[in-house]
Amino acid sequence: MKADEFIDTAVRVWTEIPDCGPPHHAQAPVDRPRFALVLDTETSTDASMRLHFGSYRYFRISWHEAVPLFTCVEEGIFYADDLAECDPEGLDVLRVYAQNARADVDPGLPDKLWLRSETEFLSVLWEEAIKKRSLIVGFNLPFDLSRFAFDWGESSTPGFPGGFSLALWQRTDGKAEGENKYRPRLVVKSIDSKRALKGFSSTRETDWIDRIAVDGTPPRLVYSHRGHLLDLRTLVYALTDKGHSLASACTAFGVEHGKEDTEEHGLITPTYIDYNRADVRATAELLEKVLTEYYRHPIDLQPTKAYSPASIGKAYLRAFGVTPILERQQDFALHVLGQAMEAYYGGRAECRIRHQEVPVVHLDFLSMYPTVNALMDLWSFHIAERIHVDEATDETRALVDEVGLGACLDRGLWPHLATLVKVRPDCDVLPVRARYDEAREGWQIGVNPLTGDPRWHTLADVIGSKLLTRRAPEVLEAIALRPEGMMPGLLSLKLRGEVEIDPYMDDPFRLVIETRQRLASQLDLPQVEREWRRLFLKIFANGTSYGILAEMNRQDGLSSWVEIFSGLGSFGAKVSGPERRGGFAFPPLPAFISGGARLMLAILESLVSERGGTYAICDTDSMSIVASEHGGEVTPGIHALSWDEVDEVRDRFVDLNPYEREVIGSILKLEDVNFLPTGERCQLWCYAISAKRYVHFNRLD
Amino acid sequence: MEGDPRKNDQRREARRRMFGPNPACMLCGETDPVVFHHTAGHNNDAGLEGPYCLNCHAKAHEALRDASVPIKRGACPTVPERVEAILKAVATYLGLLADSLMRWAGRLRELIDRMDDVVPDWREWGVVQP
Repeated sequence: MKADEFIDTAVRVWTEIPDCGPPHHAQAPVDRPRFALVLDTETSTDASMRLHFGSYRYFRISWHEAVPLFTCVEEGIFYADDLAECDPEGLDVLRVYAQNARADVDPGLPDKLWLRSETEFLSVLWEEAIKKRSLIVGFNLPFDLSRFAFDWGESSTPGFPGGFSLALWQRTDGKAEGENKYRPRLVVKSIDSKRALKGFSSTRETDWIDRIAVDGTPPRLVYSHRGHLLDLRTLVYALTDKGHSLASACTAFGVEHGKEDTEEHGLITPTYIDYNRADVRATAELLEKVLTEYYRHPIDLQPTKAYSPASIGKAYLRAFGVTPILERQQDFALHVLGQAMEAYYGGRAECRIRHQEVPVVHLDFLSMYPTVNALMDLWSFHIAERIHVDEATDETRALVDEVGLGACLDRGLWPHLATLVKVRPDCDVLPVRARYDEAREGWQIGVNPLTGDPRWHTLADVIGSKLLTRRAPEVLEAIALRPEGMMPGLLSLKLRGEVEIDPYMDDPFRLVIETRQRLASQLDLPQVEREWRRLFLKIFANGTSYGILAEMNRQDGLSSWVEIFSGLGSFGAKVSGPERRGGFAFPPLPAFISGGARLMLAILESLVSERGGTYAICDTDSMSIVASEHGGEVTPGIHALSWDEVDEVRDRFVDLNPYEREVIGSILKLEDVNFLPTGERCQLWCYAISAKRYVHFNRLD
Repeated sequence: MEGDPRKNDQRREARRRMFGPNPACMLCGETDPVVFHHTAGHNNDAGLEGPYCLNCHAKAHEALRDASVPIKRGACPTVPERVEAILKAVATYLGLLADSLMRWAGRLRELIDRMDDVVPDWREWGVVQP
């Protein structure tokens, strides 16, 4: 590209949808579940995957403090209504099996193994799901429940736009055929491969007792219970941030009777029926383990509404008594939100050395986003009574003129970085969103020399540019956000019932990261449990300190007039798929955090450069520095630092460690890939072709 | 031994939802089981109801019959007749409540007399002084 060519760039904006109320958050707290129906289905092996048969277990759940105790009081098998035509031999096998086998119920209870037709089982489902409001549980529950559907349509139920509306219940009065209008439909809207919104629609008439809401208030004129539908795969994901199969989830949670294997699918045999019943048992045992874990968290969030670690994070914030910033400060200047969105970019990811193997040392910043969050003391914004926006042009200009690498490595600078700066870029190294490759759709983000019209950036990015260019960008205007006071009435909580957090004295995210680090050395716990609990804490900290603050939900299928606020000003426009902010969204904070992360990488790059070194790749919170044990020239123009020099670089970050030193010695880690499985240090190599397209390896020679 | 535990749970859960977690009879305080009693009859006023134990429920209906309160469908076709029925029904309820309160007062008198025999200085305790 020639120096005198310009390309289009794009910035994020803040949108307000007129007459759109505040984001809806979780329902009022409900009682812990007292009953559960766990089910699993087996289907044909062709593409239709029609229901053949399945089984269920019904449990009473009592609670000893926060620990659920399950009592199985009924077990049964159900079969497709058309099984007599499709597979009469299979139906005979089921009948004989049910006559001879005993239900796996608790002692003292009737041990009849029920055999029900599909229609009879759907009556049970109606009684449990709607009349009794039991927890309905499956692993990949939408799949199992959809096996009962005989008709479908597009959902018009509020909250499920574009989802499926599935008819499960047919008329059974013998007067006519077709859908029973006195029964709800099952509505399912997929979020991704692990999660779906699901619930029951309203019905034509509802018994008065069913119009008593889950919070126990008197019967309402119009109320429909949506069901307590629990997909264990989703709840396991929310607790581990990992997609699991039933088998791997059972292993992760230490289930005694995990999932069994079978070679046969499709043909109904006693072995296959045993396999299905074992799946239900595994699911039920997993449910007990998962609920035990879930209810350790002192939050008011139904397990059926926990879709991710961020859901749990939001529930913790509400449990602290923290209300969303824009909910408690509804007059916050919208144009500042627009400026913050303009300054907001994702992590810096680059490939500096392409198509060449180079020796490297791979470094990783520990929990980058919670770390910079702690350094900038952004928790004080969450609990502030009010957030002020102060004009700060002169002091920002002076700071940018004065700041150098030494000041960036001093913790004292970082609380001042809650500042947005309007610059006129002139070959300044700043993040920008542009169409770097005209052949590709969409916009790509790069941190590179930028010249163009004035635009808003974070102060962290402006300082980062100065470090990398040794020249201060031209500051046109600056605003500093300042928290004032603390909200009254905040409550102390114990994270997972173990770690005490006082929101007035502690940074919860810092404590979470320290807890995560301590967990690594708790060798009395099974490794698989340590792993998923550590992963949960990591994602919980990232999601709650950063992710939920940047949450924007695109309203697919809708078209709306919106008010747009950007760094350039405000205007109105009609857009399809408008964004609706998440409950805790507040763009200045994620802008400051991601800017702080880019500044960390700029500091690291500067320290490497001043030693004559370079790097192969960087990726949000990590960098592969060209380095070998003794250093030296790799190829003309590429100089490798020595391992000792890299350690010197790491030591320079000592003052930027916001954690307890005994727990976390350094925020810049030597990653495990730098070591052999034996623990011995080894030479790592890197080969990269583009941002986020790289590989680390060891050479056998 | 339960015949059909799941159905039993459904019945109890419906009752729990109607009455809340710890229902007690409005007249005698019995907690298990309780049912809904429409004080003036469902056909006269479906909203005037409360929890009664089975025994008090039977007594309440007997009292309504004694007072000749019409509660069958169509028995009170006009508003004045319906209000008359409701007033008589509430009066029978208050009568039952009065009887119940007198019984509890009697029980308290028994306790007071017993304490005079066994712990005569209880009358000097600070906590019982008005």
